[in-house]
Amino acid sequence: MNASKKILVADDDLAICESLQLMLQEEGYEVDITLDGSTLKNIQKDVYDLILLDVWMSGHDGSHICRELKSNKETQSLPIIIMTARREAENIAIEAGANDFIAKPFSMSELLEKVAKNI
Amino acid sequence: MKIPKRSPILGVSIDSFSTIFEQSPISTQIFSPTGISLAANHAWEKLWGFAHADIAGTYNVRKDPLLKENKISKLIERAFRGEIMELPPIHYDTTLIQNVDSFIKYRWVKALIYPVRDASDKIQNVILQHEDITEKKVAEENLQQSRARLKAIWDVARVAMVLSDKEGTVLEANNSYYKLYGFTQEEVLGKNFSIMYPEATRVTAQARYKKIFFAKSSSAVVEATVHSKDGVQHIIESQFSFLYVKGKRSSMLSVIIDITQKKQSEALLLKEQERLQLALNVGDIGVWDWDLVNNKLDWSDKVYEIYDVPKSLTPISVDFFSSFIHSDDKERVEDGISEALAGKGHCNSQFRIVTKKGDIRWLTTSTIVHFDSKTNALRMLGATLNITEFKRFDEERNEFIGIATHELKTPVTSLKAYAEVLEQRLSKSGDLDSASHVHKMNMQLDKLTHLIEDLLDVTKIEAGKLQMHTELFDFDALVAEIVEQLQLTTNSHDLLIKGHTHKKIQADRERTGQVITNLITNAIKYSPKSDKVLLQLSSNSSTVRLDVEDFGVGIPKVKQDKIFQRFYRVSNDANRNTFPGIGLGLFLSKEIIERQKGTIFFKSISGHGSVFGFALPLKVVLLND
Repeated sequence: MNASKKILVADDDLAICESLQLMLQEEGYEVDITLDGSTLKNIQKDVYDLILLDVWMSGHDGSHICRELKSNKETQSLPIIIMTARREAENIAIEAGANDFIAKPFSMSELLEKVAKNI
Repeated sequence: MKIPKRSPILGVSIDSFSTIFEQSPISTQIFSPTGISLAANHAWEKLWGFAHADIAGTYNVRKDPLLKENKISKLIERAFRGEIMELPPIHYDTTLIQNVDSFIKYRWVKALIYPVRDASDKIQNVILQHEDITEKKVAEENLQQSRARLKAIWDVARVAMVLSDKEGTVLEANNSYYKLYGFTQEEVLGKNFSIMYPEATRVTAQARYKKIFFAKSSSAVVEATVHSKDGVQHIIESQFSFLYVKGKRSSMLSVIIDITQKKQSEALLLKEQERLQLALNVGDIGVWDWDLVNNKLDWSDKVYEIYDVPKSLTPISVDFFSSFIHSDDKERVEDGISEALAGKGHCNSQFRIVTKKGDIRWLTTSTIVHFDSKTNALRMLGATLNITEFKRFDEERNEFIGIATHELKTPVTSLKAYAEVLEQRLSKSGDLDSASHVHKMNMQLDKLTHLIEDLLDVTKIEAGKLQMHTELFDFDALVAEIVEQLQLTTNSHDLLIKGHTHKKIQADRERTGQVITNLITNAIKYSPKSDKVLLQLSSNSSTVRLDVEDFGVGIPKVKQDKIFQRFYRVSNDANRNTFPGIGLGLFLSKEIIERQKGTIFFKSISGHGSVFGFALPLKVVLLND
């Protein structure tokens, strides 16, 4: 049912990327991963249906990337869920203009709920 | 004694004798052989204050009761029998004799009484002559009194006094003098003072004495060290004055004060000051003193160092001090000072200063204020410590914990994702036994997550960065939700909710939930032998309240004041690890409740259990940093 939906997981930690990929694939999503925040800058419109974006990526400020994507007409409608280990996730997400947020560590049900809601 | 016979004085008339009698300055009274007063002269009338005529022919000296009383009668009788008698000085109360008030009520009178015989040697008359010695007597008495007074002062004086001659022979000394040296009067009086000195020092002591005695000008105060007989050293201070005979110094009065104690306390004070200075130096503490009456601010050297100001820049004004305070801290610091001066009496604050070179320094200052009787502030004293390094370390530490916590969460997130996927796959494949193992693994990961969260929260509290977000929510529903969740993983205890508040409150739902979870898990943890935890909900017009009661180990009285401390755990002393945990739960709960202007409280009896509760206002005004 989710097969037509494509998600990009952006986190500088490979273990996070792979585990989330597995988790989402279990639910039938198609999942790409990236460890490098800069790749998001050249992202094509209509390739992904949702981005899971870590806020603290080495070398790249996740919230900064989020703001850029949201200010770009091409990508502003692309749903972005910010992931963070910080409790103030909500603030960061709102400031960056993200659609939603999720605080690490999270449970599978939590993640899937948020993804389903925003995709 | 008999009056020798005289040959008649030729050529002198009886009138001359009468005149001599009358005009003599000596009071003279003539009696008949039987004692009757026959005549008295002018001086007599002046002495006794009345006319002789009043008693002539009636007063009998041999029968005067007053004289009998004074035992003078016997002596008078001897005169009437032919002897010349000198009567001892008598103190007469003239008011008993005189009818009029006399200027002097009492008189001292000395008298001579003697018979006059006729040619046949028969007693013809007895003559009584009085001498008024009152003035002499009074002068004598006054002298005696002032001597006695001087003697009393001399004897009781706390200062040692000694009168000595030019050789140093002790002529007189008071008790304090003997006490000071530990010698008796017998040992010293009439001997040279130097016998009280150790033999080796006597010559020097004498030489010094003579130098003082014969010095041209009176020397000022002399300080010296002496030893008493028992060897105890005394530091003394002496002053000298001289008595002169024929313009030459004959003796010297030395007044000696034992200043040993004064010297000792001076030395002690100096030592204390040195110690204080050392402590201030070691502690890198600067002290300052603000004289509010004259608006003068005094800085210790260290304060100059802290503010990076050259010492030559004096005096320091309060405005000058203010100019250093970081603009973000200025209002707070000045408010603190105003409050202290207005009557609070003290203030402690941490603030930043910006030095002239542009360095930012963190200072901590404690002050106290002195007031007059009308509570006007007179003086403000303060101690200032440069805590820049400490602050930097603190910030670095907080940053480290922040990063470490983040780094801990990342693998947990990944682990949890794998575990959940695995659990789901096992369930789907029907391997329920394996699925339950992975489920337990998941639970442990949740515990680990909580620990990490707690650590992060403490870090935030210490850095003043704990953010809170209010929302309107149903308090009873929150409690029910948490109880439901916890009951799922708790088989040992029944979590029973009693009562309800029926209230929505404006507060941080997640943080408040964290507190409720903490109180319930504590109640379960600390009542291993019990099977229930009671949750009582209640409210009034302004607050909601939750009490969590357990029937467990309780908290001993001695430990009760510590339980809200960071990293404190109630432990069984025999086995410190009876109850796992890192001791942050109650510390965080207290912080969260108080940040929402609520109160947290407990009641506990060791061995019977505890009740932990909190109350929150319906509308929370957050105290965000």
